[in-house]
Amino acid sequence: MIELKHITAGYQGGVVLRDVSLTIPAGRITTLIGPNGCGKTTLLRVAARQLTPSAGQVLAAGRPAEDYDRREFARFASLMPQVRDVPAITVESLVAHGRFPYLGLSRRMRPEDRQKVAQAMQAAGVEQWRGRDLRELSGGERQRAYIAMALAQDTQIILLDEPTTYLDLGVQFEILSLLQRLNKQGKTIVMVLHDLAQALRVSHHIALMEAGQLVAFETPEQMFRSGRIDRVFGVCGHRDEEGEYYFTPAHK
Amino acid sequence: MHILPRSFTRSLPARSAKGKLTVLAVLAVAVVVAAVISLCSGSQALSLGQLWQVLRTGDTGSTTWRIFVYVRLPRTLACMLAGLALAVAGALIQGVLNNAMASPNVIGVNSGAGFFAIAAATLLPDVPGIMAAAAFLGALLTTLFIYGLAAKAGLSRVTLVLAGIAVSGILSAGIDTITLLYPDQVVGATGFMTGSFSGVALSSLWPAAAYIGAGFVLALFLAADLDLLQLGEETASSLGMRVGLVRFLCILASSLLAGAAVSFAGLLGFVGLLVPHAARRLVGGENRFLLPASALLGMAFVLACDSLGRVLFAPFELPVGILMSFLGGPFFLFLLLRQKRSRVYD
Repeated sequence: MIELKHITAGYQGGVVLRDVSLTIPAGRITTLIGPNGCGKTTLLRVAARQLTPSAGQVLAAGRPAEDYDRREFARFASLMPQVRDVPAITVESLVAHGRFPYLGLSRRMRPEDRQKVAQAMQAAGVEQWRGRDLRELSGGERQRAYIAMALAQDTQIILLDEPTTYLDLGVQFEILSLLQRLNKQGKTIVMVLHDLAQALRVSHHIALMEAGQLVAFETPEQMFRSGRIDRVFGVCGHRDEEGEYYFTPAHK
Repeated sequence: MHILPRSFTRSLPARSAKGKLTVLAVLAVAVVVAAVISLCSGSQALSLGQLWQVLRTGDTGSTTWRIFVYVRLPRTLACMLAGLALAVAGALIQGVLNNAMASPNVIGVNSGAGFFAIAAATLLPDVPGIMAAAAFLGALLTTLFIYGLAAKAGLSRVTLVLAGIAVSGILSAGIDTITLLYPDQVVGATGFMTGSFSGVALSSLWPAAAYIGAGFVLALFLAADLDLLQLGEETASSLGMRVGLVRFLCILASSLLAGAAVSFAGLLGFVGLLVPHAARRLVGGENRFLLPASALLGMAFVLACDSLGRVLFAPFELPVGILMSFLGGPFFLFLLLRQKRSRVYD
């Protein structure tokens, strides 16, 4: 569980987040939504300890995040940033990098590390590409490989910044159902999503943000009924007879 | 469209760890063969038999012995040290800057090392080992400056190369100024500017060898962390790596290597650019294989080029730097042209 208390944070003088408090429940899927530039990625980076807030405190499993050693924190939470370099390595090498926080100074993998890597590749469904060059995979395949790396990191919490962006719709569904499956196996998932209908469909909790502040933290059902999404995004939300959410322009 | 076969520029070699070790072993054999050829060839050709004779009897009075100890051995060792140092420095710099077009000569590190080395040799000629120390300092300062530019100004890969050329130009002008003002102090400045191994003495190699040894050990120690750095700064950092520290140590290692090489070999270009690319084709991007492969291939490449330079227009000697520029220049152009088509790190 990660607790953010009165977080103010930003970059080079510019404040992005103002006094945000949020408790991310363990074992659930929490999705951050909000218009571009509202501070979703910044919040994710603060929670992943990649950005030090100028005020406020991050508690990780009840302990201040700054008390953790780097590697210790990397064994607690993993982060999948949206923009990543794609190196010239195999899928298996990439997944093996997830073991970094567990290795000693020699950086040598032990048998249990190799076992974790194999398990992670299997869980993310990438073992058939283990010997393939990362750069030759499709966007969806590569995303699965990065998720496998996060699994090899063996953390309670996985933070993902827009894991479905630039992917074909069918592949987006596959990635989200993979994340749901991992959640059922006990992982806490925190992610930023742009697609509102998908966010409402797969999440247990929605954190709605606007202009650097948290507007509401509720279940998808409550969030949808409150009409806050419609107001913040300037859209009109609907639900069909099967309970699926969809959004149309506000003027209709 | 493809100047070189596709396999040369794309996709990883499908080799197991065992296959990569075999490649390393083959490269090691190539280094031994190239070293023997280097020991034998020159204006006074020595046969293998003569070489063996002189080593077996240890007849220190003979001409052959003197050629061997005072001319050939220092030169062969110098080729090997420079080849290893510049190739590994190139692989490190390409990794740290995440830029396939970077290398010690391209981003101006060689010129920085050269400027400091020449300045130190001119101003403090009596201090022992001053050239290697000054060259290391020059390499370190230049690399940190270029890295600072890349990090703060967010330069693109091609712009960074242009910045390196500008820095290189300024420092080369500095070298020219010193050699003009103190023509008597700087011995063999022409050889220094192009890169040459003629007239290398064993005594000037020892301090450089110490720096190169330290730099190479540090580089091998950093191999796994450098792999992680290729995933991008944020991913590496979220995996618990001290990104800033690792970057600095990589720059330190590459400066130890490139600076020391420049202190005795001069401004030898393109080894650091060409060799890591070829090594990457052979063993892939994992640094625990890439760094040793670059080291071995660098040694074999410089030995071969230097031997070729000695025999090509014998009795005239073509400085090794000139030969390498003929090979490296076109390859650099090829990389620049390819940059247009692909943005991924190769």
